[in-house]
Amino acid sequence: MVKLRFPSRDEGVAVVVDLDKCMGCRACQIECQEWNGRKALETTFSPTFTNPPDLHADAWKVVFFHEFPVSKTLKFAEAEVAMKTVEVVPVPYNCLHCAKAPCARACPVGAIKVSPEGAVVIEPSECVGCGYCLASCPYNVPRRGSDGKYYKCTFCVDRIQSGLMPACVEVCPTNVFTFTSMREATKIAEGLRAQGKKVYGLSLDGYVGGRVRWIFAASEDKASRVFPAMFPETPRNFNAIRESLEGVAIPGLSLASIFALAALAVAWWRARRTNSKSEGAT
Amino acid sequence: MAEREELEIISVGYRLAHWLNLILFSTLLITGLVLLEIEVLAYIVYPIGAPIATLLGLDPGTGAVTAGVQIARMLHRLVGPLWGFIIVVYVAYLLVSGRLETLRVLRKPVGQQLREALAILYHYLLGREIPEDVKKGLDRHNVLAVYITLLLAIGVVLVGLSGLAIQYLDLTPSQYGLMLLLHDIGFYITIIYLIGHVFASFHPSNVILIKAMFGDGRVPLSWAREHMNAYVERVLARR
Repeated sequence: MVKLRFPSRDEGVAVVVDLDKCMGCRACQIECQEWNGRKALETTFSPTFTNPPDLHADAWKVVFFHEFPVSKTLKFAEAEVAMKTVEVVPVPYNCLHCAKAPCARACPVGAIKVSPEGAVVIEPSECVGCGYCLASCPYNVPRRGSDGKYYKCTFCVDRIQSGLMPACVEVCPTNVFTFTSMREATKIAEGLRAQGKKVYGLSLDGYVGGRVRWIFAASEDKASRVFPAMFPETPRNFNAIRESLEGVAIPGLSLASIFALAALAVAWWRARRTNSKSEGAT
Repeated sequence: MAEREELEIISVGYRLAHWLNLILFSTLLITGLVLLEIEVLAYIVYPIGAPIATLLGLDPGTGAVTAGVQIARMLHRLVGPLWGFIIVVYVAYLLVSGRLETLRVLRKPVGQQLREALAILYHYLLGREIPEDVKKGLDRHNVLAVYITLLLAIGVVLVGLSGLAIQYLDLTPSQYGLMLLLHDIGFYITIIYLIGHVFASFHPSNVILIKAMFGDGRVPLSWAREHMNAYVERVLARR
C-alpha cells in the first residue's frame, strides 16, 4: 500500500553543478519559480544579495551569495596597489535529491515519492504537514507552505519524464549545470576532481545513501569558503539516531513480546498440569 | 467462612483510571505505530480513510491512506495531551491524598528488594515457589511491579514532554528532530513496561487480580494474604 523503492546509486539521473561557472544571474531561481507556478515573493532588504534570504515553499531554488573579504594586489609598471575588497561566490542551491532520501523514509504517510530517475518528490495532495521530512533532512530543504503542506524542488520530474532537462538547467546561460545520467555525472565529477577541483556529493554518509544527485564542484579556494557553510561533511542528524534505534527497538521489542507470550503459555500449561495433578491426588 | 471473605484492593477511582489509561494508551499506541511504521501498517488506516477519500473525491488508494493517517495524527495529538492531563491529575491526587502505594516498597533495603524481585521473576518464568519470608513481606505492589512502573514513569515523562514540545513549541528543525528522538525513546521504554505489565497481568498467578481490575475490585482475602501479605496486615490493622 505504501512502498518506497530507491533506484540504485548508479541508476537514474544527476546534475553536476560547476560553481566556477556561476555568475549569480539568478535565471535558474526565476525559471524554477516560473516553471513550477510558484508565486513571486516580496523582496526585502538583506545584507547580502541572497533574495529571498532562504529556501521557501514558493522558492525551491535560491542562489545564495557568500561574501568574503579578500586582499588583492593590482600590479602596475610603476607600483603595486594593495586593496581590500569583497569576493562574492554565488551558489545555486536546491534539494540535493539524496540517493536514499531520509525525508522519503521519514514521511509517515508515504507522500514523498522517489521516481525511477531518482527524483525525490513531495506529493502535496498526500502531505499531512507533519514536518518529519524537514526534521530528517540534513540539508534543511523542505519548507512549510501557507497551506500547512511541505514543498521543495521536484527535480522537474515532469520535464525529465517528458525528455526535457530541469528548467533551471535549461535556462542557465553559462552552463553551470550538466544534467545527465548518474553514471555519466560521476565520471564528469571525477574528471573535475582530477583537474584539482573539490567535489561534494559522491562519497557521503550512508544516511543519505552515500551520494546525492546534485553534485557540486568548485575550485579549491571557492570550495574551502563555501562547502563548509552549505554542505555538511557528514550529512546526519537526530533522525539518523532515530532510524538506528528503530532498527534495534522494533525487532527487539517484537522478540520480547513473542518471548513473553511463550513464557505465558508455558506458565498456563504448568498451572493446569499442577491443578490436574492436585485434583488427581484428591 | 474466612475463605470467602473478600477485600477491596482496587478502588472505583483506580479502576476508572485504569480504563481510561487502557483506552487512551491503546489509541496512542495504535496511532503512534501507524506514524512510525506506515509501510507495514498502512492497512490499518486504509479502511478508516477510504470513506473520507471517497467523500472528498480523492484517489481511492493514496487518498485513503492520507486521510487515514491524518485522522490517526489528529487523534494522536488530541489524545496525547488529554492522557497526559489525566495522568498528572491522577498522580497529584494520589500524592495529595497519601494513597500512592506504589513507591512504598522502595523503602525496603536494596538487598531485600533485589531478593524479592528475583524470587518473583523466577516464579513467573520458571514456576518456582516464592520463599515464605519473601511472601510475608509482599506489599500491595511487589518490587518488580514497582521497578517496571518507574520505567513507565520515565517513558511517560519523555513521551509527554517531547510530545508537548512537538505540538506547542515553535522548534527549529534540529530541535524538532531531537524531540522526535526523545518521543521514540519514551515510546520504546513504555512498550518495555507494557510487555512486562501484560505478562504479569495474564500470568496464572494473577488471574484473580485481573478479574478484580475489570470487575468489582475485590479479591478473596486468602488470595490477598498469599500475594500482598504486608498490605493486608496493614489494612486489617487500620480497621
